Amino acid sequence: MSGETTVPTPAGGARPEAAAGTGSADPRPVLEAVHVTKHFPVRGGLPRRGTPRRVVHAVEDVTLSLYAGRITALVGESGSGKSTLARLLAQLYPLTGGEVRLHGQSVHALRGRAFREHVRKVQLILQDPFASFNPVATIAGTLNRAVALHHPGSRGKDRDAVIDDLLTQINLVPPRQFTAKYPHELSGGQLQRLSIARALAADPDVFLADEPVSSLDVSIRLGVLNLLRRLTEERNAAMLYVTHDIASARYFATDTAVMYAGQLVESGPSEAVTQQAAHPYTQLLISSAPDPARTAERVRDIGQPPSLIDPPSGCRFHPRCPYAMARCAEQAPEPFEISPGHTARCWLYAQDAASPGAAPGTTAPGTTASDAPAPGAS
Amino acid sequence: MALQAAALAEADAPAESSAGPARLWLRLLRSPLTLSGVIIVLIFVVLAIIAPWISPYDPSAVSDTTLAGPSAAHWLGTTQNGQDVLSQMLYGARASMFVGIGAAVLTTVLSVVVGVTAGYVGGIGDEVLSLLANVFLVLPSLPLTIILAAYLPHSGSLGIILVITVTGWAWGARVLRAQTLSLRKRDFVEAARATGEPTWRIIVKDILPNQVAVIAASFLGTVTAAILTQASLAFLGLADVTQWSWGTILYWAQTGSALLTGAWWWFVPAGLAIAVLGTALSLVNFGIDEFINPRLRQAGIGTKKAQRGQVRAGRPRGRRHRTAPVPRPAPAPFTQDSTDVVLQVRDLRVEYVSEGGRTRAVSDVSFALRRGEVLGIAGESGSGKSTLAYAITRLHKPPAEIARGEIRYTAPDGRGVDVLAMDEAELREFRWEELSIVFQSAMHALNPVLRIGAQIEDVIVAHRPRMAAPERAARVLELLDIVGIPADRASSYPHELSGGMRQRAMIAIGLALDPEIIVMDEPTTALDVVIQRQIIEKIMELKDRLGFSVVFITHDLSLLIELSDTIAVMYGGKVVEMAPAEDFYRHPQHPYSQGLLGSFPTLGGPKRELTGIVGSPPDLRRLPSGCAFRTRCPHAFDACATKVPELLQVGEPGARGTLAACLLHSVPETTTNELATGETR
Repeated sequence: MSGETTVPTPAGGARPEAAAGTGSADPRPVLEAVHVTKHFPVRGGLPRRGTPRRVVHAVEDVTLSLYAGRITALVGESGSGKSTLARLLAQLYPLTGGEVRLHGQSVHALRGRAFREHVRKVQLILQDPFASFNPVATIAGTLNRAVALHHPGSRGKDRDAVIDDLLTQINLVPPRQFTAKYPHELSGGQLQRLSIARALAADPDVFLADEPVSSLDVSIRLGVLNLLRRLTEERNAAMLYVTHDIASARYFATDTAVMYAGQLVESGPSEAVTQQAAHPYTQLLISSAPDPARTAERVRDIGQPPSLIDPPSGCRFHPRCPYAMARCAEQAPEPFEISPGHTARCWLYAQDAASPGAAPGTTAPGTTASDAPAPGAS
Repeated sequence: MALQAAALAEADAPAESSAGPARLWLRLLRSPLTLSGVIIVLIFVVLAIIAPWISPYDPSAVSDTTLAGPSAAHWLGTTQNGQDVLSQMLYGARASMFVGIGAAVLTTVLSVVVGVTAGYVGGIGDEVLSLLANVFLVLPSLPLTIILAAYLPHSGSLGIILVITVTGWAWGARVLRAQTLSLRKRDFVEAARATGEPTWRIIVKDILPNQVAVIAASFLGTVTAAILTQASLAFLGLADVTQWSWGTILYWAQTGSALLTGAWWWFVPAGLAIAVLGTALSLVNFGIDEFINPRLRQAGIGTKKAQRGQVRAGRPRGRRHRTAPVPRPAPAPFTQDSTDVVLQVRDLRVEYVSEGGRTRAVSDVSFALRRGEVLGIAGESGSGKSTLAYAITRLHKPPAEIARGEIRYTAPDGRGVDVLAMDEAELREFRWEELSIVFQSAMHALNPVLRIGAQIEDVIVAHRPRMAAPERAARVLELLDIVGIPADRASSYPHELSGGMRQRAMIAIGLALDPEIIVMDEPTTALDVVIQRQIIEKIMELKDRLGFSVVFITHDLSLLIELSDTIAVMYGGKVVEMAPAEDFYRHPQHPYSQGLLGSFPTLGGPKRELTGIVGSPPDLRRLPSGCAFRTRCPHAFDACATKVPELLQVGEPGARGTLAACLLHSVPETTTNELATGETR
């Protein structure tokens, strides 16, 4: 609660990080977050004169674009702000700063008709399939509401036909076997497919999938992810795939963006981000993920994610970073380009005199990382 | 009970057909108590409605037969003025029911509107409405009722309804507001918002249906309270005593000195009617929750499961430890050739007993845990892995039952113990001293109102009552240091620690008595990968240093391969493959293991094709015949449907290696070529 909790917003415009639309027919993004910032007020505590109101810096100056027919993964740990960003894109919370653009148009649609117009195009899929269905309503009841909302004027039989069609699309056949049930009578995988069906009812341009498979069994994750990919491709929709599993991002997303403590620290094509991770945090994340195929030593880390009420100055990763320099604590880095479309917010990649040893290249930090043998590697 | 619910919920499958509304009514009526409640209430309602037509006399009409006992002409006797008590009772039921239901309807509507609006809207609206409710709550309701009733003596039943509503709505509003606040944060409400539903529809469709139980309970409670209040006011003469109600009958009986003259028939029926109706309403109230909530039987599973370990750990011991703990031999690194078995499980079978029969959750599982070994048990929901963990610690509760099998623990001094033969006292000693458990959800397993240090100390106090306080405090600090929690954190409450810290605290509690075996049930599933890595490295470091053995249960096969010495894969309650971790990773033998390994996206190396497994995990209550995996198996052939595969050695006989339960391996001529196509890498 010091006076210096003002936001360390980097001066100068950050470039749209995922601007390089390689392999996409339409280079214009469907949905964009432009310098989006979200602060949540902290409840409790007596407000004191002269000090700014305490806030949680949940999302700080994030710029991210989603393109038609492509999956963009947003990777980060819990509390990194990735789910908040998805909800900001869905307009469930008001923004503190920046803007959300849908098809190039700035959106401010928090309530009423405008909000409904927005969510018709942008649909959110939540993590826990068991919690995201009303336990006292049947599946048909829940889906009926979504269909009634997005197909106004349709009546009984039409709606049933629409629901049957939705269930067929998500491979739950025969549909009538599922619609009469209550959520607790279905498995997690089936319910997650049904929440995808609920989102499909709106025929949206963008899916925001918040950890859609994290709570599912391993053997059925793949099926749900493949379903999401098929829907994205068939409908030429854009998808934001929020996950903490960077390995799945490698397999399912065209682009991957990594968040740490509310900021986007690295973004680019998934293969580049996972195989030539540039930011030290991304490297830590990759080396922490369980992977029996790995032979290299691990990056050791004993730190904790910082408090977002009073985040570290400069680069928010600097207290944990093995390569931290003096300027890291003073100045927040801008995104530096590593290869076309691949950027990292890290001073190691600054092309100026102030960074020692020039740019160490994309693999340099990783190779020097093994200072101690990891006992976990068997 | 909770454990069964957990297992059945894990094994959830589409097969159970839904109970329609008609069936729900049947379920309600099958409960005899609820049914009798409903019938009694209905009888009173019907009598009240048809009272004018069935009353033998005008209730106010005087006659010459005064103070006569029950007779054929006057079933319930007559009053001092010769009025018929039965007729008065019937007309009285009308007034009492009208007041009861009228007041309950008004009160409930008011509290629902205020409570739900305040809870859902939030902000200023919430504060104003809550303030209003609080003001009404602190009004002393009894004097207020009397005063209001005194000022409205001739407004009849309506006045009384008004009085009861004014004094009674605030409490219900508070409860409903609190419920709405918690419901508003639930995912399904957020999902409905994200679909773009208007607020009023979310309230009507999502919030209210989930509150029906509370609303119904408060409605029925208010009916009872209103009937009682009305009777009391009338009895005190504060209501209109010329209008017949049960209270008025009591009032006239009192003024007519019925008690002194022994005219019991004058006041007993009214008193009895009030008591019986109140009881009936309570009976309905008890049954209503089960009727309304379609998943009541599965509520609150996760927390109970985790709490139980806590309760057991903290339970004080009945008697002193028999022998001083034997110092463990210096930890030696584990090798696959080791034969120093610390826990031997043979043919363990765990069944859940229910009305519908016995469900086999763990089916004839055998394994040997050797000293210093990390045995990883992998499996999906409903595979029986958690049931197995509970069974080997004997923390399973009825209706779970160990149907057969043997669990043998060998202490460091070579003494063998039959775990299944232990009585309660021996079990308490065995748990935590020899074998401890670390649960998945540290937040739930730790007591939120006790400091971390105190919780660790509790375990020591329970098992080492003789240990002096300073020695104990030193041990707590030592344990915190072992798991890497700074000493000053000992005085923190669980919510003040991060998820990783809490899990470390759980591990510290597990280590408190220096056990031989630690069973870890998904200890890192709720944690982020970076924190998970820290915890895993800590566990491995401690294992090497202290030399305990670990049974590690998780669904994350990649993690398991990294940290385990030996891996057992469970499917449908059986171990389908058991092998040294390295062999398992390089050459998985069972098609299910191959499918699992082929489901994991990899980070290192070139991208490979992910194959996955078709279908969903099976329902333990309806396992396929023969091999449980055959419906999802890409290599299934005819014999799989009829023959249950045994867990047999794969490869050359004599060599220690992989055990697999698959017919592909027991039919020599098909083994090689079938498997060649089954390999995913």
